[in-house]
Amino acid sequence: MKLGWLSASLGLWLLSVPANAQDDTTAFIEANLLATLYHELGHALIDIEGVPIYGQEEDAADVLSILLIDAFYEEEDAVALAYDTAFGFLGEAERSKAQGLAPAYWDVHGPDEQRYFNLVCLFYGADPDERDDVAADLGLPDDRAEYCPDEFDQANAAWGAILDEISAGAPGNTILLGELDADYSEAADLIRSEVDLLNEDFALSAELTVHLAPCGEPNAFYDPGTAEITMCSEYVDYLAELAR
Amino acid sequence: MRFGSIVLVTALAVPAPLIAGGVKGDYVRPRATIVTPDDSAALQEDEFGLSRFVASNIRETIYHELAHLLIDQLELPVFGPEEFAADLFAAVMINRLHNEDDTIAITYDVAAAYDAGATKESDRGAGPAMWGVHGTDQQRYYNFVCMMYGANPEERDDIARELGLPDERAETCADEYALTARAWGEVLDRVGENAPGTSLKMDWVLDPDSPLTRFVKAETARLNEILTLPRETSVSVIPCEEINAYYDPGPPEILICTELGEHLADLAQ
Repeated sequence: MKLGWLSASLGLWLLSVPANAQDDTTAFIEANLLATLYHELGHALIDIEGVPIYGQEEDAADVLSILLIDAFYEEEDAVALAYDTAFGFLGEAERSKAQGLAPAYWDVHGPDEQRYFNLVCLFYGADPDERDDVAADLGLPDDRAEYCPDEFDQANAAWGAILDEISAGAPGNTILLGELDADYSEAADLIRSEVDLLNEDFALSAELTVHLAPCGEPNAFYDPGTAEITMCSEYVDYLAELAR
Repeated sequence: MRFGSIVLVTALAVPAPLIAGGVKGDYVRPRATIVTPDDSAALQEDEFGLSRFVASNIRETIYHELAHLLIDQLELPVFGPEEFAADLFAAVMINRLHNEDDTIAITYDVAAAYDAGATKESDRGAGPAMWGVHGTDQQRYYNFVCMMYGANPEERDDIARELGLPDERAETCADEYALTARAWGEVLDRVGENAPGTSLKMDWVLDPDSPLTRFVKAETARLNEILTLPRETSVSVIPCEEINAYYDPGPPEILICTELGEHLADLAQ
């Protein structure tokens, strides 16, 4: 089994620790921006690296996001990111419920609550001894938890092989910055530094451009036609609202 | 425990009595009345005495378990939850192995079984378990319909409409199907290189003359025509005290529980 990527000498990425409520909101926004950027990176890799997708692509992108959170950060920061991202899914689920909407079972994404449990499961499964309390705190049922270490191993072996490939030529300069909305300077700074860090670790088979730009909806997407990730400016506002 | 591994998974997890046309508060998708196995064609028996509805769903189940087998024996990289990959493999197999008329019949029969499961889920009141390794039956219903529509959008517009697939999802289905059909297609080409073979062998059966056993035996022969596997694998049709089906990686075995056949036959009534 290929577990090498995790133990590879990737620099550990440090996050500032929030000190008060304002910082909590900032941390929540940053965590969800990062997790979403990693999710879109998943779509980009599936396209650019020709990853064979046997199941749902959206789930595969979610899985990469969790694996990167687990791999890139030191324990304390990884846990903080996992919590904030998990609460992001929970927040969306509660928001829908408050609006009287049933989960959209027909959607190409899984229901938010399901994405929440998949996240918690894989994050727990990555280090079950260390993260027992996280699983308990976030309400992962034992019936699911028992499979999570295997689920993590399977996901890590699959994505790890792809990450090994794109790490081989690193550092690279294949991930480019596109438009960065000047009205969202903090988010722009985060994306700028994140792209630098990704280039340190990865060299993709083709160029990928990342934008932070208004797009008329709180969303983020990857466009395979142009190999561009767009993080919508509206998504930053949406996360700020969700944080309350 | 015998079935202790993650790859041992249920096809139809719970007994699900069909309550056709029931209106449920937390069950909001458009219910297509056609999603019931109650039209006479679905009840028509094949040469083994198995109704079309049961045959369609047993077939889909065998394909689903075969996906777990291929993931295990070929050590395929699985980038998302394995259960979803197994569901999509079944959709690809239905499209590859069956002509248009049969494919459409199977689509309605399998959709009807998921629909029954979804009704059961919503009847429990609290809603489906979001933490399970399988998707909810409603989700599996839509993913399945999306795949079957996406495999041939020009011809199957009416299926998408009748089975209530929202336009917003329908527009991505052709791309979704193309992506998964390419991935699984490469796998099928690989195991097809040395076909026909004898990798799948009928093993334990409760009743060799039962319609279910005879159908599974014929399906097994059909699969041997198109694939050879890294490991010889048993196929059994026996009681297992639950409505289920399994792939067991060691020693490799696909197990179809007789209770699953009985359950599906009850659903069809």
